[in-house]
Amino acid sequence: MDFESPDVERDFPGLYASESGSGKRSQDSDFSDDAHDRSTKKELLIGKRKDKKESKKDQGYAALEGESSPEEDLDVKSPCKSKKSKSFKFPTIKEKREKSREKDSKEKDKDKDKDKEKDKDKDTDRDKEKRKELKSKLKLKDKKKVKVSEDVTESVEEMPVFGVPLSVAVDRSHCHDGIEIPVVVRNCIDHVQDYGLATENIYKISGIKSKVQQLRRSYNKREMVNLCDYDVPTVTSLLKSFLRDLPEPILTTELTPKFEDIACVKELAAREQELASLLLQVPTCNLTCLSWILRHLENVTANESQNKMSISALGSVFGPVFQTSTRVVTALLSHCGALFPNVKLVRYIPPLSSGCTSLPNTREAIAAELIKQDSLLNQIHSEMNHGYTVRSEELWEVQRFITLLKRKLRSLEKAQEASSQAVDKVDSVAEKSEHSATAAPSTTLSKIAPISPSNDKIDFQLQVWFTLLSSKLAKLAQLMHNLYPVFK
Amino acid sequence: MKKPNQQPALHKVIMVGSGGVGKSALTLQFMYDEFVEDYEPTKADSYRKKVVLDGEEVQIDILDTAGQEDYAAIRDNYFRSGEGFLCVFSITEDDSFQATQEFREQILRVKNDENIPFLLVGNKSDLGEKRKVPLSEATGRAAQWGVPYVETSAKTRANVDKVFYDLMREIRSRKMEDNKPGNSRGKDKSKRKKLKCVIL
Repeated sequence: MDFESPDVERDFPGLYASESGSGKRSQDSDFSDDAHDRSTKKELLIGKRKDKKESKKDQGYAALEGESSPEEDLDVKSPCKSKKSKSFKFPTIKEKREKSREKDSKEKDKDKDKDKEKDKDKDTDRDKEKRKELKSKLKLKDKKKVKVSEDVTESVEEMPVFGVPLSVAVDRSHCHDGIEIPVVVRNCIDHVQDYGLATENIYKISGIKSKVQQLRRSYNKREMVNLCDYDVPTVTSLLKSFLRDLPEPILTTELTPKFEDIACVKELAAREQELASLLLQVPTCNLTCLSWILRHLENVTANESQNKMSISALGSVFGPVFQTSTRVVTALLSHCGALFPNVKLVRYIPPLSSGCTSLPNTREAIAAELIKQDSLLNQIHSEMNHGYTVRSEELWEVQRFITLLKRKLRSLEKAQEASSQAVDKVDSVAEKSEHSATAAPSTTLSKIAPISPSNDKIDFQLQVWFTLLSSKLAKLAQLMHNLYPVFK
Repeated sequence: MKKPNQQPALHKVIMVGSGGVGKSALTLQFMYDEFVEDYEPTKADSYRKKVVLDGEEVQIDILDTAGQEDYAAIRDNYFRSGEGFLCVFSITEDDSFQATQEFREQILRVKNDENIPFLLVGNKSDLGEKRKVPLSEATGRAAQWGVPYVETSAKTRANVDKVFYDLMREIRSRKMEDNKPGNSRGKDKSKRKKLKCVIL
């Protein structure tokens, strides 16, 4: 393509020379020093030759362009481009633009049709291509810049919870009692459940923006937050802002249109069934989070007489929050009980802070607390492994607390063992004296050991395992739940 | 953290060494004056105690780490925040002595500091008749590293306090060095050198 233009010039020398000559006289002041010297008719022919050279130069630029930076290209090319477009006289600029536009769509056909303007148009095409490339390059640059600035904000709040995919938010700040939803969502739900259900127009009224921002920052930095210091509208706005800022709708981009379709189904039973089967396709962490929020909103509508929020009112508030339509939210809310029969809102009790002086007293409570603390410790470790080193102090504290709990557990077990041995001894004594194996413990030792001590210990061990197992089972069940359509 | 400013100075000590050499036994003996006979591998445990160091009340944080390789992944996180290290081996087990070399290297790698407060500790000195690591070999390695060598017995409590207090003194003097403004011997030389390179 590049080598064609000299040939074309040879075929139509006069045309080319006069065009470019006249153009140069009027326009070309800054491009090349030679341009002005070629004003006489004598020099037209020379001009033609020079044009040849110049066209080669242009090609040279074109070839170099890939290697030079976008800014340079802009500077170098713009004069050359303007020269070309203005030096070409026969078609007006408008016409030419139209042509080049046409060329963009049917390049090759046009090339064959118009031999005369071929090389010129090609040049403009090339220019266009260059511009396109430039644009794309600039876009790339812009993207890079955006990325860099994102990195900067991330380094300020190293591992944010807001504005990241839900699964990431859950990873970064999940509840330590086995319910895998972000702590901020759980806290908001708990707070509104406790203090907000009777608030008029709850979720409709917005909180104070600066306070919401402050809370967001605190959650992003994993600071201790006490929502009781804030009013209900601020907390509801916080929850809404978390959901609104999810990069993907909680119902997922893929499934949201399907939910829209189902929401239009008039027949209630069919709608419920279809919703239930579609929900199976929603990722586990989204489903868990959604189910808790909907169960909570159901409670809000149950108090409609006080808070004046009906299902449809909540739907219109949460449509944009869930990045879907009012109809979908209303549909989900009205079938909430049937869709999530097993979800029960449980108040979140976070792991005890390591500064806490009153340890749990029963072995069951200690064991449950140890599970939470272990979960917390694992989270700190994983964050530190990702370079989030701010929490090294916390690491020692949590570790210390775990050690303390373990020691207490062990001493309780030992005490139990000792007492059980004592019971055995007294038991045997009682057996000998009363010749009755069953009556003795219940009468003489009921205060020390109400239940058979050995059984009690087994019970306790079982309980610990049961707690662990049930959390694993819950996960498994959800996994199966998600896989169900596949088997089907 | 705000609290440590008001509270007495806090020194963070980390116990390292192979499994079964007596890191937990030493720690528990120091913390609670108790000797635990039955062996239970540690994953990680942490303790805090208020002690009087040369007339000054200070707090010591002890992190008892796992000797087993299984927990190596989380070890770096702890090493990073430690201020001083007790590298323990059993004088009755040569393998545990050889392993100290690796622990030393790992600590230097994580801390990037040749002069980190560090003690080489030969435990189970009460089992002298089963000794496998000659005293000369242990002192030789300690001299090579430029660290003190102390033999202890978690069972008899021999030298138990000494190793913790000696290490705390090293940490304390190290901190005082670091806090002196314009002290070229302060916070690890390697880091300073690196900074210079960047500027140049």
